[in-house]
Amino acid sequence: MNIVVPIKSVIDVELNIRVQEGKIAKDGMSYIISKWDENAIEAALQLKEKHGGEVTVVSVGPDRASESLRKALAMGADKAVHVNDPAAEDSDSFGFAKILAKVAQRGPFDLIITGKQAQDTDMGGTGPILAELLGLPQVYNVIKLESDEPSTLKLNRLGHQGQEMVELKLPALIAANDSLNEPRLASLRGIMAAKKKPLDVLKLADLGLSPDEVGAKGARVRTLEFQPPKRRAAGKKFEGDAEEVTRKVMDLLANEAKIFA
Amino acid sequence: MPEVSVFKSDLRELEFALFEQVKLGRLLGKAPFQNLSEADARLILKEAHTFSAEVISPTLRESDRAGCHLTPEGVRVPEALKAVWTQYYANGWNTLTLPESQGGQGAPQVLGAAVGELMSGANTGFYMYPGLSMAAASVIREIGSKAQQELFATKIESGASAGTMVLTEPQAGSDLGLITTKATPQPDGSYLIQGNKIFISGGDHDLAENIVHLVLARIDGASAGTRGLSLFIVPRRRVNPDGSPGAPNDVVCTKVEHKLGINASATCALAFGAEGKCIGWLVGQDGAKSGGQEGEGLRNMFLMMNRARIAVGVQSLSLASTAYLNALAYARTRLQGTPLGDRKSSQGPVAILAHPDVRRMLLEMKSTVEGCRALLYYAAGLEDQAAALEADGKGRGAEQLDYLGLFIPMVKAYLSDSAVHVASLAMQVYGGAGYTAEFPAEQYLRDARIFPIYEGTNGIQALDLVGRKLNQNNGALTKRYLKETAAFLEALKAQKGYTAEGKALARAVAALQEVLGHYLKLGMLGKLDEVALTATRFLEAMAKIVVARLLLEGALAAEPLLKAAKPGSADAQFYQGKIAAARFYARNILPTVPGLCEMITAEDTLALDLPDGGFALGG
Ligand SMILES: Cc1cc2nc3c(=O)[nH]c(=O)nc-3n(C[C@H](O)[C@H](O)[C@H](O)COP(=O)(O)OP(=O)(O)OC[C@H]3O[C@@H](n4cnc5c(N)ncnc54)[C@H](O)[C@@H]3O)c2cc1C
Repeated sequence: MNIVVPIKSVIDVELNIRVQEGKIAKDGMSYIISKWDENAIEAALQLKEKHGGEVTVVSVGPDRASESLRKALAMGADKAVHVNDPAAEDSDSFGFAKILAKVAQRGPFDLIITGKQAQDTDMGGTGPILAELLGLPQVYNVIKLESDEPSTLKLNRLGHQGQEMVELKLPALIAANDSLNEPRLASLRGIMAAKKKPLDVLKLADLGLSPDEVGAKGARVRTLEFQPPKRRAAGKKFEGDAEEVTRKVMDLLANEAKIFA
Repeated sequence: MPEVSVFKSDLRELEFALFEQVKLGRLLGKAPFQNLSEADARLILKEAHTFSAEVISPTLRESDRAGCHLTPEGVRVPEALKAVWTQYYANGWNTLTLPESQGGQGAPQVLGAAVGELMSGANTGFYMYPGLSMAAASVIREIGSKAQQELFATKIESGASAGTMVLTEPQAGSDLGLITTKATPQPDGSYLIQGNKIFISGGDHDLAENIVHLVLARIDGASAGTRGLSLFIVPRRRVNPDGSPGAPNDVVCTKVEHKLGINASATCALAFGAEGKCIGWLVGQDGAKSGGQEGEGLRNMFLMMNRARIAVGVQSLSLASTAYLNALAYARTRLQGTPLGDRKSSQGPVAILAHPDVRRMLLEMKSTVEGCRALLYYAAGLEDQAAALEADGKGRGAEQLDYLGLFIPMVKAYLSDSAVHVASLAMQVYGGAGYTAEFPAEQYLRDARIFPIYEGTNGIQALDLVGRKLNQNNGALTKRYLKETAAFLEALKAQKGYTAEGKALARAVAALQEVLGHYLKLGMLGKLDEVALTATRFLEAMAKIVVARLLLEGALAAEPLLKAAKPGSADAQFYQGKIAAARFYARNILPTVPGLCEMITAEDTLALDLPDGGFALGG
């Protein structure tokens, strides 16, 4: 089973993210693999361990994306493709999907696994567009995955009202929820083994794409500015007699927060 | 329920120390470190941090509370540690600095120290098990016979066996010459081992299927004192020809100590050969042939001790660093008091980070931690330079290793004392909350307190420095250090804005040189007890000079980077922090050195002259 996993290198959200002049300040930041993409890698590795085949990780981004790719290789992926082209920067979901589609089409594949959204923009657009461009069936927000034979997946996806159980014939695209699995850590052995694995660096031209199809020029969505989230107001602590406190809290909930309105 | 991780580290700062300060990049990619690039090293650091935070750290509090327990089947460690041990070895973290020929990654020692720093402080007690195991394996690799390497070292390196170092006896602590455990030669070349050892870290546990003890003992008829000691491999269970564990080897844990800290680490009393059936092998001896390693026990043990003393440096730094960063995080959130001169502030209480005295404590911690890191990485880097020189065929590696010897007592003693000091300051920043079990500050302080004691007390380290290292090779090591420092002081003069720091360092160095002259005089007069009396002060003085110079070198490396950074950016603040830490050290910590030196040269012998009864307890 050959699996392609697109991964995005994002700012580590554990750090103090700052907004300067409508843009996210990038100095002093460290980058990690977007967390749902780690679930996607883990799912791909488990399928490979079961059915054999190869896992190829792909990332579109500047130099620093190679660190995320090397981490994915260290986790156990077999090959990496890094699309490193300044013209691809500032792509929207549509642009990224176009690039990823071209990468996927370079070789035969059975399955594409993405995260359900990226951890930085929370947009969730790239995966569905990619499936459309490739004419693939897609199942989103997967929380459980089984596969007795390599041609079919049995999936549980989390919907608004509950779970949906789906049987999916490959080739297809699925998108992982973070409850799908517990991503493995990159081991020291894995990091050293990764050094011997292929990591192809491509330009847009290598994929037959012209610079104005993607990047800011080809984008259909434009980011106007970023704003830091409002600080959450401090909580209130109520002490004293249980009955009295309950009455007070109910009163505040009804009249101040108006949650019953 | 797994606990949240309280371990904090600053990868940015570690990377600065490795790549800007020690300039590790110069060694990577070349023999014997041809296998690693700078990008590899950075990825290794990042993932070591992840392992530490996600796998080790959640066991910190739980394993401290659970402790280790003696059962009829042997010692049981906190349950949570077993999975950590297994994953640590499965992921190959122990193989980082092992040579490629032994299945390792051949990484430099300084990278090993940095990764150790990222792991140890997450749970000091846990990390002692793999740490001591690897130290034991490295001794067997260095001086063991081929068969011993295959039977024992390979097993330790895979995590199937653990390792220990077994020196201390009830009557033999600092003075190992008093060791009475005996070794009786057997016709097949092995020895019967008999004796009682105490305080053995990891002396018994259920993390691995076997434990390989490295035991200091005296062969029947050998001379008294340290010269009669030899080093033996004594497995907990005998080993079959394929290395798998066989019958018990008459090594019994008779007690697990209850103690102040590192409760996850089993500190054991061990009875060797109580039933006369404990078999050991002389390290380095091949089969029944006499191996020529008799009486080399202490020298061999020192091989292990040097590594182990650096390892205490790693433990100390790691713990001090996480204690500082936790205190810093708390200081940002704890609201108390109003800004000075604004008693009626309408703003309400401020974060305690705003208070001058809290800032003083935090910067003292920061500069101490960064100074300790600079010293540790410098020392570990000397070993790597030695390896690089040897690989280059220049053959001057031994010189670097001798030089490293000068710094080892300072690494052990200064870093361990600093860990206690920083952990105590961290608690102070927390106020009352720090004294409670709500926060990790109290455990950090408890765990740190052993560092100045084991692996040779800090008093013994000071004697090693003044009694051996200062005069080694006719004082050549000391001379080299002073010469390098004089050159640095010249360079510092040319640097704008470092006049105060340069003066403070020059004053300290001059005072130290006066002490060296004074020691020479005392030596000629045979007043050795006066040298011994002041050794601890001397070590502190010299270590502070060493640290101050390294920090200032780091500051000079940071200056151009600061100029290149955008004002107000995170980068700029980082470099400002580096420079401030160095300046703070030079202005607030280094100035104690002339005072210490003055105390030494003043020949205050009160503590020697006072009759024992004068200390009181009724005479
Ligand atoms: C938690 C823990 C773990 C340990 N792990 C191990 C281990 O794995 N293996 C092992 O072999 N040992 C281990 N030890 C033992 C440890 O190394 C010794 O406790 C240490 O070396 C000091 O010996 P001692 O306790 O007998 O103290 P003593 O030697 O009795 O020293 C008491 C005091 O006298 C001072 N002193 C003694 N002699 C001199 C001298 N000549 N000049 C100046 N001052 C002197 C010391 O500095 C100290 O302050 C461990 C101890 C502890 C508490």
